[in-house]
Amino acid sequence: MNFQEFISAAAQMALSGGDANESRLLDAEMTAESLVSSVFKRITLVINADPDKRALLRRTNTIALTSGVGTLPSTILMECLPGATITDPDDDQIAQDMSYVPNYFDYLEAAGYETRLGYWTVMANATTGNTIRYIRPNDIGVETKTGNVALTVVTVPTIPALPTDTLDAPQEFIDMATVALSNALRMKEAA
Amino acid sequence: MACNYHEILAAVALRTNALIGAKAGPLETTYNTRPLTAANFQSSIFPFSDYRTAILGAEEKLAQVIAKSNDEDQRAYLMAQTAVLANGAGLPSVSSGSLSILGPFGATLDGTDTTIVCTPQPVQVIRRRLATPSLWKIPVYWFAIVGNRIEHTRATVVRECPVYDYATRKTAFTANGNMLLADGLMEALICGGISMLVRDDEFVVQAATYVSYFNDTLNSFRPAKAA
Repeated sequence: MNFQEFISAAAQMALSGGDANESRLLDAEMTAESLVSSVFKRITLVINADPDKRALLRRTNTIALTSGVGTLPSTILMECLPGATITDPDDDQIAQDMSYVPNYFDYLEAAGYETRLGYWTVMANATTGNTIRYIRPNDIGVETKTGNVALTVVTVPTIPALPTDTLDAPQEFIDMATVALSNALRMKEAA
Repeated sequence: MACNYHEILAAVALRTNALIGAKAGPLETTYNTRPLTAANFQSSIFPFSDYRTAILGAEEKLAQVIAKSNDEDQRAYLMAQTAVLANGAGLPSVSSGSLSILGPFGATLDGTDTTIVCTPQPVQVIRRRLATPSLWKIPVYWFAIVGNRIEHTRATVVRECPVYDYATRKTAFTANGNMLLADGLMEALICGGISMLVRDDEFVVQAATYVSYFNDTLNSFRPAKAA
């Protein structure tokens, strides 16, 4: 299903149960498009909350680090990070020693206290995108990694660049998102 | 359309005693002569060309009323399109062929693909769309009319418009071309033409009778609702 078809399906679904000629949702494509980002995120969180479904949206994101600091794609939600796995192509054994530390203060404390293990954290940054910070084992409290790491985590599907581009998401997600977008248009549920 | 102008001309001229032929036989011959010319006419009250003016005058009246009606089948005989209109353009008074626009516009169409009909939206929505182009990927075909201006979300649009051009009809009449409107309005054109043929006290009663017939037709078109 491409993006145009997705929007059209949700807009048409929103007209169900009434006279289309009388509906305030008759020309709702622009409103629908404005809700897509929120709907995608909400459905992603619904899937993330269900261990049986997480595999649907688990993606591996390559992140470039400079001195242990990089920018997280906007398709990765903070709420999904506790279930993430981080790997390093330079050290295929490192994943088992890396821990996600949500709080930046705890991250600094841990990195200085137990240097035999590695840590990573994410700090919100509205301007440049959320920042990931990464300290490997034996970095001794100083972020030194320069190069790529791979973060495998439940990820929000990307909104296509063109109406004719296919949605890069499993059908189960698309079906849930279509209904959710339709309901959002009808004010039946929050986007 | 198969009815040509000189069918109407013959009927109108007959009722003002203008056709040559003192007896039934010659009159029948003149009545069926095509094309009719000034040589077929004998009236000292109305010159030959005035019949054209009267009949086309009736056609103009009908066209005006039809253009302002919601009878889409009849409006189809008058329809043309404007030139392409950029966002914010003023609404034109002539079509793309420089013909005078008679009445309310019809559909608004995408200027690139005129098979796509645009739909109205509040101007505020359109302005929001235009102010934030990078936000939107799904194309929308929207327009708003504000005063005499059009705002829309396409590169260009065109608008359907009913037109009437006297010079074109005059040429068609002279060449005994087909009448512009539906064949079913032939009788109305005859009545309208006769109703305009009054000079001093000549044919006054007859004109009054035929104008009532003509008005019956004019009044049968339902005015369009205000947009």
